[in-house]
Amino acid sequence: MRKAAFWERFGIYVITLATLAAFSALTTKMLTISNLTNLLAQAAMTAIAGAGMTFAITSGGFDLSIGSIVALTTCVLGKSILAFGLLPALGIVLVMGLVLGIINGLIITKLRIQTFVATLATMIIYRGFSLIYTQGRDVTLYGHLDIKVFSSGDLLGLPVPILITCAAYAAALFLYKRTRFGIRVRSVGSNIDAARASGVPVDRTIILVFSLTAVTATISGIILSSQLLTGNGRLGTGFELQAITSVILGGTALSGGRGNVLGTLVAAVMLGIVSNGLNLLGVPEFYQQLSTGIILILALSAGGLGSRFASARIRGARR
Amino acid sequence: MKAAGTKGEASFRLFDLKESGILFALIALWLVCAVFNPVFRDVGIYLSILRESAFVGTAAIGMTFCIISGDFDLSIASLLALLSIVTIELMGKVGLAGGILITIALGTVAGLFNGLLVAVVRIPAFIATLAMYFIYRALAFIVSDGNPVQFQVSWFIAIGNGNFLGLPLPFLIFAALALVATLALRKTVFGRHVLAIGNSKKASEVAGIGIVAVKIAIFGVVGAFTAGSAILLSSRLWSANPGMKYGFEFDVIAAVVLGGTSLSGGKGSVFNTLVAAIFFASLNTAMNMFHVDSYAQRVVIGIVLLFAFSMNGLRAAIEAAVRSAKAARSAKAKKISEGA
Repeated sequence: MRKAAFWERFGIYVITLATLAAFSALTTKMLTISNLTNLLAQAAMTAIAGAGMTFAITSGGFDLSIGSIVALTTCVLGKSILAFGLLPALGIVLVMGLVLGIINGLIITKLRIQTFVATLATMIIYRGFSLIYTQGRDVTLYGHLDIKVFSSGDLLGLPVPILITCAAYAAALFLYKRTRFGIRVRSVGSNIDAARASGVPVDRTIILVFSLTAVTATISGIILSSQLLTGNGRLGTGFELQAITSVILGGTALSGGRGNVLGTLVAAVMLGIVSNGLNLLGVPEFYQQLSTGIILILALSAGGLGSRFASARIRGARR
Repeated sequence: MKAAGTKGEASFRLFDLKESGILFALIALWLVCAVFNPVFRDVGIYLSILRESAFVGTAAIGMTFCIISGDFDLSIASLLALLSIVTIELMGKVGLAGGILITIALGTVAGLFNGLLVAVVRIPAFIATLAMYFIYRALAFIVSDGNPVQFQVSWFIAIGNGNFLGLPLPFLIFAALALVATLALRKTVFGRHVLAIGNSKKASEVAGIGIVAVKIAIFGVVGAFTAGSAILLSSRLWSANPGMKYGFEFDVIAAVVLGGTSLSGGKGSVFNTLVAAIFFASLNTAMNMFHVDSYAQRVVIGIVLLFAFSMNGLRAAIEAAVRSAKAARSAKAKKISEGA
């Protein structure tokens, strides 16, 4: 049992170091400062949204709408920058993200819809909004290079996306470990009825969780806009599954109640290493998807088989 | 005694209405469309709706079994792309019957593999099928080298585009499969086991149901029906490409849930899934006929889904309220009779 728990908690670190070692052995371009910072900056998008998603999954739900929120963010950010300039535009998209998250939360708690289907519906709706808003066209920002700071700027020699990621994880860790909110999220995720009975404001907690995922997705959207200098309603399809993948690989229990915030960060970096490494080796993009799938199965089957053997042993001991 | 009988009847009727809500929604939609748009007074449009319903619907039959058992399968869009490419490649080489058989066999094997991951390796279905979502899609790209494939021979494209006895052939196939699946769900041991596992895994285990085998079989069924959709769709389009139908899994899950199958498992009906698939196709066609902007169509679909999903929750809340009121009433009656 202890072995399985260890694997669940620290397995992702082992896998990450192993992939890093493997790619470093295969190509000398891997372990250079410039490549590593580039890799981390690329992983920032998944990592930041993953921080929010960790809370959603810990609370026992999913947020499938974040890919669409990313798309809507790039569209609204693009149009607002053209109209008002960078700073007001940032304010607008962050407020928008908060509102979208609150809508998700209200739908889940007040209409009593399971998170999976509720956010499935808002996934379709938010993407519809972003396509209607731009009529399916690109919003280009080639004349507004100040937004580039979020993907390729640096502060004190450190790339801005990495700094944003660090700040996001510092905040997420604090929220998760040190606040009442963090405890409530875990209690809602492990047993919602017990949480309600012991006086946890379940609905408010869920609404806050989904606001958090939406806002982190918005930040990811800002970074994406900055990388592409483009807003488009078709961006970010499948992003929700990528974020969920890194949360699960990071060791957060799908059944809720037990999250691993740092694990999500490490898993996002690991997925970044794989895609970066395969790029360096000149492997076509679709093999990256293949590797993501295989890593998921290997990581989880190790955990699952471990607990299976452990439970068999316990049963044997009881007999 | 008499009072109890009528009460029982009333609750039975409520239950019945609940079971066929989607059918009423479909009829209402058709009536509204027929009132406002003359196109909907012609039988042709309905035939075209039925044809379009088959592509999501066939895969949704398999997914109904899966969701009833309390799981779902996220990998089917990727599997659909892979199998569509395989179908097109095969048809030219081995002919119609061989192509169909091999595609369905491959779909079943892929599904069984998903089932193996879920039931034997014990990865939660959400994650296992999420992993296979990446893998089947990657295989689709690898098999086709990233290029679209085509096969435009009349005996093949007739499956998706042809008619039989005046009815669209894909719908006839879809309806026949739905009938078989309904019988399988209601009248066979396998179907009972699926329902039992969805109701309570623990109770099923205690009752001696081989959960591992049934689960593997369920995912095999999903794979087989996804292969069915792949054959119909690639025939309809005369072609396939590795990037096709992103998000198909969500269309299918939405159709199943819209048909009243509960995501928490244990109940559901293939017939309602069929009706829900027709409802979806009708909604899409209607929005095209009323010139709803193609982007706004998504918003409408999302809102319809929200409405449908919240109906389930609200109904449950109302039923719970009615039940507790009833319980309170009977407790009161008991107290009174005890007092007397």
